[in-house]
This record gives sequence, C-alpha cells and structure tokens, in this order.
Amino acid sequence: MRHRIVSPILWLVVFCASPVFAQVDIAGNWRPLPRNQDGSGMTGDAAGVPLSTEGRWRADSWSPADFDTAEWVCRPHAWDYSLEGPLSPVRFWPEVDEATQRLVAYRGHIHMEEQQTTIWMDGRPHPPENALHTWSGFSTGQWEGDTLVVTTTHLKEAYIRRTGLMRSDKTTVRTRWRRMGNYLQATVIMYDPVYLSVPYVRSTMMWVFDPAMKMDPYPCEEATETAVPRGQVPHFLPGRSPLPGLDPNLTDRFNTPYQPRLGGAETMYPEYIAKMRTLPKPAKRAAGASEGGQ
Amino acid sequence: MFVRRVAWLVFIATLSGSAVSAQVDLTGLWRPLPRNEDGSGMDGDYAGLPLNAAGRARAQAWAPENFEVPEWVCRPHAWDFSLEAGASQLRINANIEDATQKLISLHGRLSMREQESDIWMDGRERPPDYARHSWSGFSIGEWEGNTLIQTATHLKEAYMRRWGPMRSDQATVRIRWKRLGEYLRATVIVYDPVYFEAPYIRTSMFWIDDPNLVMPPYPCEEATETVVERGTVPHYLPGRSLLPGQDPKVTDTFGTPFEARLGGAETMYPEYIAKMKGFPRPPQVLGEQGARGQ
Repeated sequence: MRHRIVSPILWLVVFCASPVFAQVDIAGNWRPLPRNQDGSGMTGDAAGVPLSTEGRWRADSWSPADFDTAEWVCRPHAWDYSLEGPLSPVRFWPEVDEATQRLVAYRGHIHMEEQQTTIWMDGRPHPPENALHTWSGFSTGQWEGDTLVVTTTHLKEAYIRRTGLMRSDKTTVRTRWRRMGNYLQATVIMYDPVYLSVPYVRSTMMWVFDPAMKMDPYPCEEATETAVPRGQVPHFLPGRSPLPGLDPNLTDRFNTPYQPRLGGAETMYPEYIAKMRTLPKPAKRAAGASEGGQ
Repeated sequence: MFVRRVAWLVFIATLSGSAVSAQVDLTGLWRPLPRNEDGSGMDGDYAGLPLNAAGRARAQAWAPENFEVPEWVCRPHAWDFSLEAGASQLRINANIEDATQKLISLHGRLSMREQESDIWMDGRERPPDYARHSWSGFSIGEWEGNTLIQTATHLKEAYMRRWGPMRSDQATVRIRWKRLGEYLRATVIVYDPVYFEAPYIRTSMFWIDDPNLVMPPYPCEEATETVVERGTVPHYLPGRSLLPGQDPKVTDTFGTPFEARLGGAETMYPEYIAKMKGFPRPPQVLGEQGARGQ
C-alpha cells in the first residue's frame, strides 16, 4: 500500500519552510507612495535630462497644441512614463506554466492610462529590430540577486516629461524592480542613442503592498475643446518656443538660470549646482502657473 | 490646451489612499502554517465525522488496495481535500477584465496533487445539475463583509480522509476565506445529503503570505507495486473491514472506544466526551502503527 506519489510527510518538511532563494514574487496590488516627481521646474525646463542636440531640437519644437490634435487626444502614455505618473497604482500577476510551475512571464497593469506590459521571464530573445514597436515595448526580465532587471526595447517615441522632452523609439529602457518586504522600488534607466547624450536615471519610485487597493478603469474620451485644423502638426520653429522654461528672460521661484534649463548631461549632477551659481539670473520671475513639471 | 482626460488631481486624492472597501485581494503565494490536521485517530476511525448510515457503509467498504488499482494510483485529490493536506502551498491569481477592471474570477492552485480551482466572481449562474462533475467542481464566490465565501458544487466523490470516509458527488462545499493582514484563513463546511447527517465543519486552515515561496510541480507517476487483478474492485463486505479503527477489540493510545470510532453527528461535539467515558475500552492498545490520521 505504499504510495507512488511523493510522500506527503516529506513534502511537508520541504514546503513548510520558506526557501532561501533571492528571487521574490512581485505579484499583487501596489499602491504608490507620495514622492517628488521627476521634473519640477517650469514648463519647458529640461534641467537634469541629458538631452543631446537632437533631443534639444525635438523638445524645442514641441507645442502644447499637440494635446488638441485629434489623433493625440487619447495618446497612450508609455509604460515607463506611466510608472512615474502620480496615478501609478500597479498590479502584477504571474503567468506560470502548469506542468513545470516555472514562471513564464509577469503581466503588469498600471492605472495611469491603463498601460499594460508583459515581462517575459522564460529566456526568450528579443524580436528582430524591424518588429512592431508599441507603447510598452517588448520586455524580458532577469534576476540579479533579489532585483528583477527588466529590459525593454521596441518602444514608440514617448514622453520623458509631458512638456516636449521625449525619448526616441530606439530607446532601451531598463527597469530595476526590487521588493523589500511590503515595499516595491523601481529605478528606470533610459538608454537613448538619439535624444539623450548619456543614460538617464529616473528618480526611484516606491509602492506599498496593499491587498485592499482598488484599481479603477481609466477611460479616455475624445472631445474637441480647441480645434486644430485637420492636417496641421502643431510645432514651434527653432528658437521660437513660447514655453516659459525656454524664455531666457524668465526664471522660476528658485531663480534657475536659463542655461541649465536647456538640459544636457552635466545638469544631472550635484556638481552642476556650483556652476549654476555663476550663471546670470533672468530678471523676471514667471507666474506660478508656469511651473508645470510633468 | 486643456486635457480631456479625467483630471489627474482628483484621481491623486482618490488613489493615493487605501480603498475602504471590506473586500480584499487574496492573490499571491501562501505558505501553509503547521497545524493539527483533520483526523488524527487510527485508520478507520470516523470519530468527529457526521456520517449517516450510508456514509458509514461507504467508509467501511473501503479497502487499502484501492491505492493499487491502476485507475486510482494517480487519483486526484479534490480541491477541498488538498486544502487540508500538509503540502497545501497555495497560489491565487486574479482574472480581471481589462475594460472595466472588474474581478471576473480568482484562480487557485494547490501544490498537493496540483489541484486548481476557478472561483467565479462575476455573478454567473451555476450550470444545471446534470452538468459535468469535476475534482474541483464549479465554484462561485461572494463577499460577506471581508470574508470571501466560495461555494462549490458539481464535485466528484472524494476523500474526507484518505482511508474510506468520503463525501458524495452531491455534496456542496462552502469555503470561507478570510485574509487577516499577512495571514489567510480557510474554513471548509461540507454539506452532503448522501453520506452526512449534518454539515461537517473542517478545522480552520492558515497560510502566511510568502513572496519567496517556490511552488514546484507535484507529478504523479503510475507504477505497479502490488498487482490488483484487472476488473477487481477492492472492498470489504459489511462488518469485515480490516482497518484497526473498525476492530472492536483494539484501541489507540488514547483508549478511544469502538462506538465513537463509528462517527455520527454527535461525535463532533465536546459534550460527547462525557458520553465516551461511559463506553467500555477495548482491551488491546495499538501503538503508533495503528494511528494514522490523514
């Protein structure tokens, strides 16, 4: 009457103890913790973003009327941008192969603009370069100790900040997820050979595990508020942007000089503060409403 | 330049706080906590089970050679029985509709015999009585405050304990899931109009949230160890069971009387202890070899 099945007693011993693997499940409902968001200067202020010349031009040409172009009214936000947004409650759930119980992928849903992502954990390669580019791109995940490192390619061009700063569709985004007890941390690093001169490390974001969190839908309804004639692409010609951050005669309440607001790699580092102090301060302070940040 | 999307700031206030709904997310990886398992007497001891005459006859007919019948070597355990077992590592996932973010179902997987269960949360109706019966049955879930009530019907006949006592395929199983912070509790109530004379409440089971838990496969490989002739259905005729619990002449280390080991509704209650003391004690005490439990 011996059983051919692995003895329940043996399993009990094995399973009642917690394993010592560094890998950890990130599935669940995660509520974002309040934090300083990436980008807190005036609208058009690129300080801290390592824009290349091309990135600078792309940002200068951006017009707020973009939001009113019918095709862009419900423009999705990319997964990596939605992570940074204030409405970033996130849910992860695993896709597990039944027979082997191996993790095939994590699926993620973020509240901000209802972005979804799939993080393939089964070692599959990225598709060829000419494959479809999407808002969330194609992501693979690998463990580095207790940190899940997600590498995303095949992205569409998307916001770094919603005031003209873009990353290109050639970008690779690396997101480092780390669970510390009931807290989840994400650090996003962008490698953009087109618009950025060096990798950009986005501020670290934190969530707390919250099984009582409710994830609502986030619908977007297209409605015409300001008509942009069909066929028109809103833009500013070089040097003609009226955004306050790009006006050399204006400053914010911190007296940020004009030059750092153009961005660039050196503006990312604390050492730049000393240099900023030597730069001329614009005479006129912009109204508070022009401090747009995101 | 007004954005038509639902205003951010309203959402921030709404979402940065935890939801006040009593419903709580049960998804995640759950490690079982050690506990006394249901059934700790001798093989064939039905004390504490509300068996009626039909249930007792079914139990007494059961022979251990059932395990050797090829068709039963890899017999699945029902969801409600696997919950109780020692290797009841549990994973619960949520199936959520994208557009509405409504919970459609919870999907559970137990390591013990790889049992899976869908708990439909979308208010769908049960199938008709004649629909297919399965090991996990058809389950719907409803919230009573912060307790999820899983009600399963359309079950196959399955073990109550693994040596004869069964619930029938007409049973309704109600599982009350309650999350208490990091802990998950399940209380199982079996309503069986065929084998029970009263509902049976299985002991409460506890798990702890463990994002480090690894759920390996639980394969079963059929192998012939003791040949049971093809076409034979191992059984005992009434009054001929060889299980020690059904032998009036032997008792366990607690001196449990024979009458109590026949089960029945009254044996479930503490008041029965006083009655048991009035019964004669069988003269022969079996050692540990006769005491099995599950």
